[in-house]
Formats: sequence, C-alpha cells, structure tokens
Amino acid sequence: MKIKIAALLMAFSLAGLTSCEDYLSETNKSGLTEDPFFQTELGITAAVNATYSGTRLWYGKEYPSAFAETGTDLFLRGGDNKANQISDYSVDLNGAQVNLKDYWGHLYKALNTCNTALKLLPSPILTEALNKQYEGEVRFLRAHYLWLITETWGDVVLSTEPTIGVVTTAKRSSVEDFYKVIFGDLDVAIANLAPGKSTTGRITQDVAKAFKARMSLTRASSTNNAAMYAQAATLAKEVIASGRYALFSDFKSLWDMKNAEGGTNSEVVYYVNYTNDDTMNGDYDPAAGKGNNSHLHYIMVYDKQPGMERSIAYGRPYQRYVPTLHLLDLFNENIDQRYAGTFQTVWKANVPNLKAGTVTGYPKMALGDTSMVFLKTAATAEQNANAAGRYKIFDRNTMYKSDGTLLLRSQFIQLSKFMDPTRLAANQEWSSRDGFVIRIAEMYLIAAEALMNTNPTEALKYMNDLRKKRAVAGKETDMEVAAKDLTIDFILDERARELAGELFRWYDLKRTGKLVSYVQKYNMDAKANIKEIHNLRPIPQVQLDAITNKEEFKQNPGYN
Amino acid sequence: MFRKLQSASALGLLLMYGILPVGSQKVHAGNHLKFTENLVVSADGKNRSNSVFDITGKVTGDNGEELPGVSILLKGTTTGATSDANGTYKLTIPAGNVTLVFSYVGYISQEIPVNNRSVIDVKLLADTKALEEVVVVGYGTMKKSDVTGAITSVKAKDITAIPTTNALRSLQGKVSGIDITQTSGQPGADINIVLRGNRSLKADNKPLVLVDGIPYGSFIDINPTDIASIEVLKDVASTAIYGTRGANGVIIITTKKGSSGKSTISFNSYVSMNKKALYPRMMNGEEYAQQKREAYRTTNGDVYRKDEDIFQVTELQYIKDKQFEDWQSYIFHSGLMQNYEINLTGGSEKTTFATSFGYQKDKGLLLDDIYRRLNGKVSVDHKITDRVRVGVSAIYSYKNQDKRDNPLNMANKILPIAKAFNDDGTLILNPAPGYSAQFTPLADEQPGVFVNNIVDKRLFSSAYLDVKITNELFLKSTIGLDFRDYRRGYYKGYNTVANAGRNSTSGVELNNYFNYTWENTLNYNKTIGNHQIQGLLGTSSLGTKYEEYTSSGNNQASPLTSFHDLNSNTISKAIGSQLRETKIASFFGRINYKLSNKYIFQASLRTDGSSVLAVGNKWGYFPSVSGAWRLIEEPFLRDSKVVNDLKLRVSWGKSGNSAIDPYATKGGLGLSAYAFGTSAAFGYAPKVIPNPNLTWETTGTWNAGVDFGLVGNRISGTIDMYRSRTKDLLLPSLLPTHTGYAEILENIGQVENKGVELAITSQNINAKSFNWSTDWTFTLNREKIIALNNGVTRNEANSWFVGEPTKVFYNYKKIGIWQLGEEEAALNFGSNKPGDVKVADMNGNGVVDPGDRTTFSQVPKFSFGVNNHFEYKNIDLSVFVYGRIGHYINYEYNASAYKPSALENSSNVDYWTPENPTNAFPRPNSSYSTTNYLYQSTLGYVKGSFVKIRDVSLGYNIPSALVKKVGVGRVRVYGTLQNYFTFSKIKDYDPERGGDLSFPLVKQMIFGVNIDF
Repeated sequence: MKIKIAALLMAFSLAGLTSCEDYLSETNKSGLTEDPFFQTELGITAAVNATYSGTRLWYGKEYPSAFAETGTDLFLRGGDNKANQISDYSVDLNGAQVNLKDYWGHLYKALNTCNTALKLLPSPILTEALNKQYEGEVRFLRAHYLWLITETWGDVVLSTEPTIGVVTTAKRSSVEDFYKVIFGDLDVAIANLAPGKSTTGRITQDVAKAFKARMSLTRASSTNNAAMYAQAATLAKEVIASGRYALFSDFKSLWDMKNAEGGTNSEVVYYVNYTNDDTMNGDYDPAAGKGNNSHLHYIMVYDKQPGMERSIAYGRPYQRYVPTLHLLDLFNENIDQRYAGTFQTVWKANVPNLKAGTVTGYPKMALGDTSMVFLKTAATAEQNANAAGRYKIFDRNTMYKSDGTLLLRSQFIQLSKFMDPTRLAANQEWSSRDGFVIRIAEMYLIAAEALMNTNPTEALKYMNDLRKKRAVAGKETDMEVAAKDLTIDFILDERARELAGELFRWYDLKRTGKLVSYVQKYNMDAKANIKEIHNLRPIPQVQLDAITNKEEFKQNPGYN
Repeated sequence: MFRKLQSASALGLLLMYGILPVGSQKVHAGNHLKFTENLVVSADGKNRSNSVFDITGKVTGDNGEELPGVSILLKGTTTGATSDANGTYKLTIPAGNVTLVFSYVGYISQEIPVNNRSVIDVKLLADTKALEEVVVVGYGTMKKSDVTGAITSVKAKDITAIPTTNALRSLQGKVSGIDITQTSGQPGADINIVLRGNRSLKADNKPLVLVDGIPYGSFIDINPTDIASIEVLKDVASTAIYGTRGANGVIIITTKKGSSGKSTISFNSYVSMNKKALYPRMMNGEEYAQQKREAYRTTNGDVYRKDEDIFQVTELQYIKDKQFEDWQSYIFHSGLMQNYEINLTGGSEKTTFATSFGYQKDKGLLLDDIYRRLNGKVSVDHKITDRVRVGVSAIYSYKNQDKRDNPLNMANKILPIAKAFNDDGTLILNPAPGYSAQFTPLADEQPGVFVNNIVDKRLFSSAYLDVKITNELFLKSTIGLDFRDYRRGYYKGYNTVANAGRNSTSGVELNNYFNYTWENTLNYNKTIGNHQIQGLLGTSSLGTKYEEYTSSGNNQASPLTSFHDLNSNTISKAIGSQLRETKIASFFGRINYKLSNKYIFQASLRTDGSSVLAVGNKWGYFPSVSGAWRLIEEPFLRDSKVVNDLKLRVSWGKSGNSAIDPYATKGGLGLSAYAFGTSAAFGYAPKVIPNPNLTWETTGTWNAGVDFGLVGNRISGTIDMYRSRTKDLLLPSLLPTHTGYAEILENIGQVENKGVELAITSQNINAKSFNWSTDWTFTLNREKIIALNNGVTRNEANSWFVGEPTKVFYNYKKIGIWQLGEEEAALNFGSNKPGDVKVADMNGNGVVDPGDRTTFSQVPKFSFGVNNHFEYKNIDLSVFVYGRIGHYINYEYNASAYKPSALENSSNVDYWTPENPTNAFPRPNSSYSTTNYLYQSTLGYVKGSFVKIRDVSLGYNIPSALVKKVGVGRVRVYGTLQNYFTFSKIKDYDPERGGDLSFPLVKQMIFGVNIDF
C-alpha cells in the first residue's frame, strides 16, 4: 500500500513538474501582433489602410471645428458648446484642456501609424507598383498629420520613426524642420502617385499637388517667402489647369446630399470618405455609429419654437457654433449666392396635422407655413406687420447687440453646409457625407493670394473667375472686384465667404498674422482674452508629466 | 444545528488531523471523530455477548436545550453513537466498569462512568475557552491558539444572522481590515471589497475568494446557510502560501458537509419589503421655472426677461395650470425580495451527504427589474478504506435576471413642466413641451419595447482523494472544475430611454468560462516530547479559459422577435469574439514548529509561474516567516485571574500579483476602419506597445499582533498592526503621448499600506436568562503611492499622485462663490464674476492655473462596526452599527445634476443670486451649456462619511415544547430592519452608494423563519 501511494505521489509531482515552460507559454489567438502579421502582404495593406483612419478623426468631427472655426472672427460659442476654453480663450485654456489633449494623442497616433507603415515599405513581397503607391499615400498622410501638429502646437516633437520601447524624453524640432519633412513627403507622393481625380478617397498625385499648394501658401504667408508664393501659385494653377475639376454654378447644390460623394463632386480634389454602410465609418475605434457628425454642430434649437418639432430634415440641434455678426455681414446676399448657400434663414412649421388656431401667439400658423424667419438686418415695420400672427421673426437686434455681442445662443442664423436630411432618424448622429478637405475653389483662392503681389492681374483673374461663379444669376459683374481691392484682408474675407465652416479659419488667421487683431475686432466673446500666445495651443499636461527632461521640453510660452 | 454543521464542516478538510496535535482531538471532535477513529458498528451480531445491554439518555446544553449530534463513545473502544435531533441517544455497551465519553464541538467533553445505569442524562457545559476554536488556514486547519498570522474567522451563525444575497456582505463591519461597500441598489448588484487598502494600481485589488479551496470570485451566490465558516487571511504570513494571488488577502469559504446519523432538514426563508433608502429630490415646476428666469436674467444685464421670451407657449400654459410632474414618483416602486433555502444532510458510517436548494426572487425598486436565482449544492463524502477517502461536491446556480437600464438620469433631468400621460392614460414620449431630446423616463416600461435578459449558469464542482499514508503522513489531491455560461440578450426599441427615438438596438453577448484547479498536498505531523512539527508540501496548477461571442445591430425588423432574430437588423451589424487563456503553476511548502505549547514558529515558501508574464520572468518566489509566543502559558500568567489569554504574533512575508490581462507582454494591433469608395478598408494600427520584461508585482508585509482574553474572557480580542510595501507595480506608466501611445505596462512604482485593526468582544452581562455582548471592530488603513515611473510624480490620466492614496479625485477646490463687491478680485483671479465658483489658490500665485488643482481622497480614514447582541430567554436582539469615515465622494447631485443653464431640470440647490449671496452654488446662467460652466465639476466633492444602524434584528425561538408537538426541532422567527437609519452630512442620500444617483440603495424590512426538523 505504502509503495503504491508513494508511486502515486511521485506521479502527481511529476505531472506538476513536467514541461512547466510549455504549460505557461501563451498564444494570443484572438488578437493580432505586428510580428508576424506585418510581414505579410495582407498585413502591410492593413498597415497602410490604418494610416487613413486618422483623417476620420479630424474631418467631420466636433472638436476640429472648435479648433478651426471658433475663437476666430467667424464663429462664437453656441448654447451647448462643449469647449469654451477654445472658443473664448478663457482663463482655463491650458495644458489640461481635454480636447486639445485628445487631439495631440490622435494626431501623434496617426503619425506613429504612418511611421510604422513606412518602415515596412518598400517591401519585397509587394509589387513595385504597389510599393510606390503605398509609400506615396502614406507619405502624403504623414505630411498632412505633421502640418496639423506643427500649426497647432509649433516647435514640438517631430517623429519620423515608429516608437519602439519605453520613451521618457521629448525633443523639440522647429516648425522649419517640420516643413522640411512635409515637403519631402509631398514630393515623394507627387513622384510616386498617378495623376487623376480621387474617386474613392485614395490619395492621388492631384491631391498631393493641391495640398502642397496649400502648404506652400502657408509657409509663404507666415515667412513672407516669395519662392514659396510662386510654388503655391504654380501648383494651384496646375491643378486648375488639369481640367479634372470644375466649380459649381449653384453653390447651394454643392452641399446637397446628392453631391456629398467627393468622388463624383466636380469641385472636390481631396475628401475624407464616409459611406452609407456605417460599419465602415469608424476610425482607430472601428465601431459603427461614428461617420460624419458635422451636420449636428451648427444646428440651432428650432424644435422648441412655434409649430416646430425635431425632424430628419431639420436635423438634430447641437447648437455648438454660432456665426458672428461679422461673418453674416461679409456677404452681400443680393449679389452673392453663397449667403443663401451657406445659411438657413427660414423654417416651416412641421408639427404633424398642425392646424391654424392651435399655436398660441400665431393663430394663422398651420403645417407647412413659415414658422420662423431669421433676418441679418433689423426687421422693418412692414416685415413685422407681415409676420404678425403668422410666424416669428428673429432679426439682427434680437440676436446681436450692435457691437456683435450675442443675445441668443440657441436661436441663430445657422450654417447649413453640412445638413443631412437623408439620415434615417432625426437623432442619428452619423452621416455618410464625405469630409471635403480640398475643393478646387481653394486653388483659385491660393492662386489669387499667391500671385497678388507679383502678378496682380493674374491674381485678379483667379479671384474674379471664382466670384463670378458665386454670383446670383445676372449679378456676375457686380461680383467682380478690381486689382486695388486685392489685399490680404479682402482675401481673408473671400476665404470666409467661400470656406466658412470648412476647418480653415483659425489656421488662415494664424498664417497671415491676423488672429489676435481679427478676434479683438470681431469676436465679442474672446476679444478681451486673446493674446499673441494664442497663436499656439498649449501642450497637453499629460505629455509634460510623462517626460523626464522637463527642463528641456516645456509648455508653450504664456501657458501655465 | 449550527454547531453540529460547523463541526461537520471540518470533515471536508481531513488534513486537519494531520495538522492538529493529537492531544486536541477530543476538544474539537464532533461526530466525525468516529469516522477517523474507525468506528465500526457491529451489525452482524457476531460480537454480541450476553453481557451487552442498551443504554439511553438525553444530552442537553447549559440552558437545557437539547443537543443533537453529540458524539458518545465508549472509552477505549470504537463503539459509539450520536444524539438525535431531540438530544437522545441509544447505545449498546458491554456490562462492566465502562466509561462513556460525551463530546461536542464548543462544549467541554465529559467522561461518565456507566456504573450499570441504563439511563444517563448529561448536561454539557459550553466551552467558553474560544481559544480552542479551529480556524481554516491555507491548505489546512489550525487551532486558533496556534495561529501566527492575522486571520479572522466568521462562523455560520454570524453569516446567516442577517439575510443577504452575497454572503461576503455579512463581513461588513464585522471583520476589521476589510472595506466592503455595496455597488448599487439594483437587484443582483455586486459588492466592492478591499482588504487592508489598495495595493495595485492596475492589477486587480480584490482578495482571492476560495470556496472549499477553489477560486470562486467575489460574487458569492451560494446559499448562506450552506456556509460553515468564512476565514479572512489578512497578513502575508497567512496568505503567502497562496503566493500568486495572495497579495490582496485571501477569503476562505468552507461549506457544510453531511454527517452520519439521523438525516436533518432545515428550512430557512425570509421575505423582505424593500424601499428606496435616502434619495434627494429634483426641482419642482415652480423651482425650475424660477431658476430658468434667473438663468436668463444673468445673461440679460441683471434684468428679468419676460416669461414669453424664455418659455414656449405650451410651457407657459403648463406653468399657469401648474401642470408639473414629479418624475421620481413614477419611477420608484417598492421592491420585494423572497428567499427560500432548504438543506438536507445525513449519511451512513461510510458515506455522508449534504444537499441544499435555494430560490430567491428580488424585485427591485424599478418596475420589471427582477433578479431570480435557483441554486444549491450536493456533496458526498465516502470512506473507501480506513485510509482512503473520496468526496465530490457540486455547487450550482442558475440566475435569470431582467435588468433595467438606469432611467434616473433622464428622470432627474427631464423638465418638471411636463405632462407624463395623455388624458387616456397613455404615455407621452416627449412629455416636456418643445424638448424633443427629453424622452420620458418611463419609456422602457411600455410593453415589448425593452428587453434585457441575463441568464447565468454556473456549475462549480470539486472532487478530492485523501490518503492516510502513515499515521504521520497524509496525501490529498483535489481537482476543481468550474463552468459558467452567461448569456445577455437585449432588444431596445426606438422609443426607449437608451435610444430616445433613434434606431432600435438589439444584440446578444454569450460567454463561457472554464476554470480548473488541481492541487496535491502532502502533510506530515510528528510530536516528540515538547516538540511538535508539521510539514506541508504541495503542487498546484490552475487554468482559466474565457470565450466571448457578441453580435448586435440596429433597426431590427420588428420588436416581436426580441433578440432572437438579430439578422433582421438592417444597419450597424457587428460581431465579435474573444478567447483568453491563463495558467499558473505552483509548488509550495510550509513548516510549523511548536515548543512546549508556548513558542510557535512557521515558515513557508511558494513559487509560482504565471503564463501572463513575459518569457524568462514568469516565475516568482514568495517566502514568509512568522512566530507567536503564548505568554499565557508562562508561569507568571498561567494562574492569573485577570488575564485568561495572551499571545503575541509577528510575521513577515512576500506575496505576488500578476492579475493583468493575458497577452499584455505581447503588444497588439488595433482594428481601424476606413473605406475606399464603398469598399471597406479595415486596417491594423499599433495599439498596445509590447513589454517583453513584465514580471511579478510583489508585496512585502510586516504584521504584529496580540490576541488577548481578560477577566474570565469577558473581554477578548485581537489587535494587529501592519505595514506593507508593494513593489514593481504592474503599472501602465505614462508614455509621453507624442509616441502615439498613452501608456506602457511596466513593473514600476511602489505603494505603501499601513494600518491598525481592532476586534474586541465583550460579554457585558452574562446572567442566567439575560445575555448582552458587544463586538467591536475598528479598521484604519493609510495607503500611499510612494513612486510612479522614474521621475514622474503624477499621472493625471489615472489620477495617481506620489504621496496620495491610489484613489483620489483631482480638481480645483471650491471655497465659495464670488460675491458682490469682489468684482475686481474675481476678475483678476481668473476672469470671474460675482456668482461664479470661487476656487482656492492652492499655489498662492494670485491667479488660477492648473497648479491650483488638488487631490481629494476617496479612501476612508477609518471604519468601524459595533454589534450589540442581547438575549433574553427565547428572545434575541442585535443592533449593528457601521461607520465609514473621512473619504470624499463625487456627489452627482451637487455636480452634474445641478444645471445652471436651466436647459434641463436641476438638483434643488441653494444657488447664488444678487439677492441670495450664498456660498453654496453658482449663479444660474443661460449662456453656458449643461456641462461647461466654469468649475462646475468642483461642486461634487463632499465628505462621504457616514454612520448607519445597518441592521436591527429581533428574533424569537419558539419554545421547544411547543414545536415538538408538531415534530419540529427548532423554530426561530425574526424580523430585521436593514439600512433604515443612516447619518451623514449629505441630506437625503446614503453615501455608501458612492455619489451616484442611479439605483439607490434600498432599505429592507425583513421577516424570516428558520426551521430545523
């Protein structure tokens, strides 16, 4: 018995001891790792695809609009704005600002994803053509992310290699160095990629050229560099001359959901693709329900107004961003179709079966009748009389004080460019609208600005070509301007009229050195707060906390 | 009954015979004694002689109560019997000068010469020397007097004294060093449990909970009446034998086993009427309207605007008609919990069994929020030969829960100026006129629109083999298999709180666990003169496997198919699956040495290998040493009248923690989405940065304690002091985010915990018919982060700060409201105006900046429990007071539920206006959205200290003469008030809930009955 038991015991111990290392080894069967996945063709393609996802975080999302549109002369904080540090440069705009922190992380993640993909390229397992294409695409995207990083934060970390292992220090690189990499990348992209309009959202040579034109103008205006101006003009003209792009004659229909596919919209050079199949609309988080959200942010609170309820057509009122009086006043709506093409001013009562006599205060209002009219002018006695008992008027003096101070933040003349009445439900957050990044109109504006000082005649031609296309029918000649009108202020005004809401403004004001003066002049919320330091955003505190060389890598000046 | 089962429970741990000194056997032995003593009841009559005769009698206790299950043994033989439920026994013995030995756990054994009597009634005296109590330790049991570590034992009586769904909750306030809070008042909610503070910042801080030696998890859905004892192992000397997972303490639950003799049935049941305990109300219609007027006045140059400008027409009509709603009144109902448990135990000499069955139904405060549980246990123990025993046990549970989404968020923000129902009684979906985002909080109560059903099945089984190799050497092999199947299916229609008019959502989550444990131990036990030596060697292997499958989609064709036709979803279909496997292999040993019953020494070593750690770093070594000096055995104390017991204990040990996600060392890619045209372009981007060096997090602990008994053991107790240092924390250390990663898991940083624990029991009055005793516990723990990754002193993303506890809030500190007359100071400090929140200038530089943020500890300074127990004749009353003092909570009512914008309904607070210069809450202001009011988040931090009379319980034992007539052994009826009296500085709120406004804690009025047949 004892022997048997001893034998049993031995067996137990041996069973425990044998091949412990085998017993403890682990294989992750439900997750992929770089090695070996990125050594395969599928893996490299997946790595390249992932470099595109970062653009989904910027175009069609809430906070990039806050960064690029509010805190400028064009947009103020709406009734449910979530980032008043950004819109107002308030005292708590600092390294703790959560959206800037998030976007620092997002953009550097996108950058690291590009660097990881570039490390795999060229790969012997891909065809030469594919190697060239992939490298061109990823280089373009890297240049794009680097541009946003350096324009937002300035002389910060310039990484061109993937992160490996623990990093505890950070090094500043100059904006100049950033642009060296940006232009280098764009040149490779132009060399590697085939010319053509992007029809699927992939980067083409046209995209790279148009973006290089933007980058050239950016550097030209911020460093007053004549060669850069010339380069910008040349590239912009090349894209225009390609003949693959055409301005719409009806500005409003440019924003119609019918034309929301960048691949078929003749004005669109580069767009961030969103689809009708929401399962493909994610970003680094692939979850469905993301898509393009920009339709939400400019909508005012119409659904508490007489005869109104929330509807798919009028959208979901997030009331994040309100136009400044200055923006409204930039338009001469009598000759410029872009006022009507950019803003919504009339609302029709939409409560089902609404019958006259049921809306208190507006006894004549019935379903389909006008519910509200927004006027950027003061309502005349005639207008008021006409509206009495029929609809509500929000006029200039209801919405703004004479200096432009907002009186209402929830009812306003709303930007309508991104509306999507094709969504399935009124509260649906995602839209399939593509995020238009570069429109051909921008090339006209770049050409005009870049040539303004060296060849005003040619500059004027591009400017008037654009403006005439934007004229109310029959008012083409009224839209024409003269060479003497071409000043940087006029160019900025024109860019506002053309590009309002399209994520340009803060960066335009910054590169032209106008940020502080324009905000002081036109932004009544932020005028008292803005300072020169605000030309750079604060570096996130989490970045500063995590490094050991805190004396070398400090917060941007002026932020504490 | 309790005592009987308690003694029987020890049976399961046969090894105790190996560990316990031989001399103690009689003291603790119950009826299992005859088992191991190889009692053979002569059945065939061969041994009978003419000189045998029958003896009968009755065994009673101190107060005359009949004692069932008492072992009666003919001294010097193996012949014996057990008393039945009425305390009577019958035994056939040889004539002559023989002696009977009566023994029963908790009572002093008596030897009585028969002297040819045929009837012997015996009165056993309770053994007040609780020191002889046996406690369960890692891989064995031990006399309490021999314990060198810090172990608290809770017996069955205390576990079932108060009805509870999770037996671990009965430890709240009763075991010092353990911090238990309820997570929510929703039926089926888990509890938070932390032992001696938080050590790990990333790895799990939950103690290891073992049921009969096998890991179970902290949600104990075992019938409390199946539990014989719960032991809490607190210091590392006690837990190091569990090396790997012992760092957070170990809780050992021992279930009851059957015993041979007459079968016993016991039935326990209670019904609990549940109501919401404390819960604050929101503004009513008038209050809200006034706040909205103030909000618009603020943005209109201090001039009130006309109501017509700020309320829409229907709202004005409602205000005029006083058409207001109190939404909470529709949400809350009374809950009802019913619980039934039945146990059957019994067995023959060779085979014993225990079975139980339980049913519980807990109807929550919300309609259709129902938790149902069927559970039970079967265990069988069988003796194959004198030396070999086997046993199997299975604990099963079946849970079926209909779980509501939290409607209170909506109920608390929807305007009171509203109409909930149409005149015909139907629900209005958008009851607040003009607010189409404000959906009725009652939406989920419409028939068919909301299904969220969880079915959770678990079979927790184990089997063992015991072999007594020699009289000194014992082998035990245990295998545990734990299966769990979980399914959650949901359908949330278009018109539900979750979807508020958007798409319907439906989906199913399926997952299953399979865990196995295989442990082998060899015990050696030898006494030579004054020296007692015990040794233990063992191996353990443990594996877990978790599989998960999920699928979901939006816009299902019809609600009719609930979650059973997911393919009819038209958009956003998503599927997912996951597999996670972990393994741990271990070898361990322990040696105990006792000299002259005075000096006790113990040392142990365990080595663990964990699959989740990096290759080359998988193995860790966890030693412990401890000693005790029983001063009471020294000549100068032995005869003391004042000091009845005194023992000093010191221990040191190291334990480890590798409770991180599997595959963490390997890094990983994350799926990303894009599309080219209409073709999907999913990609993979670097997501988790690999760390090939991850290894054990280790905790070293010093513990010193004293156990004492004074004045005839009228006052007895334990005091422990400890200090633990956790090193090489498995910590997601901050990476500068310019790397593209936010963090990397590293072994970095240190956390310290130190504290004092007290547990004292005093017998205040011990008269013949009246007893009053008090149990006191006191827990004080200080936790502190000593270091994070090199040079980093704060990790804001996770709110970790060197020098602070592991759980803190980090924000500005509100000190008041800027008042009229302070305009200039307010402006200079940070562009504030009167009516804005005034925050403290912590760094004293005159302006507000991020350096002014400070920490608010979420960890209590101390907690205590006082349990007074009174007994008068058949009546018992206990009053349990529990307090948790000195921590901050983030009180939702004060922070995000206050809506200065008046865009939504608001908590009813004292807000600033020019006429009301309060320092409590800032001025309403219509120009801000609900969340971006400057420093609004600072309003929520309030001291969460509370003292509550957690339980008041009154019981009555129906006199046995009465119940005997209907053939029942014992009947106890009781009524309990739970959570009825809470005292704190927060009005109308129970801070134990932690600040949240969802699913408030309930107060329970319970009526129950215990019947033993």
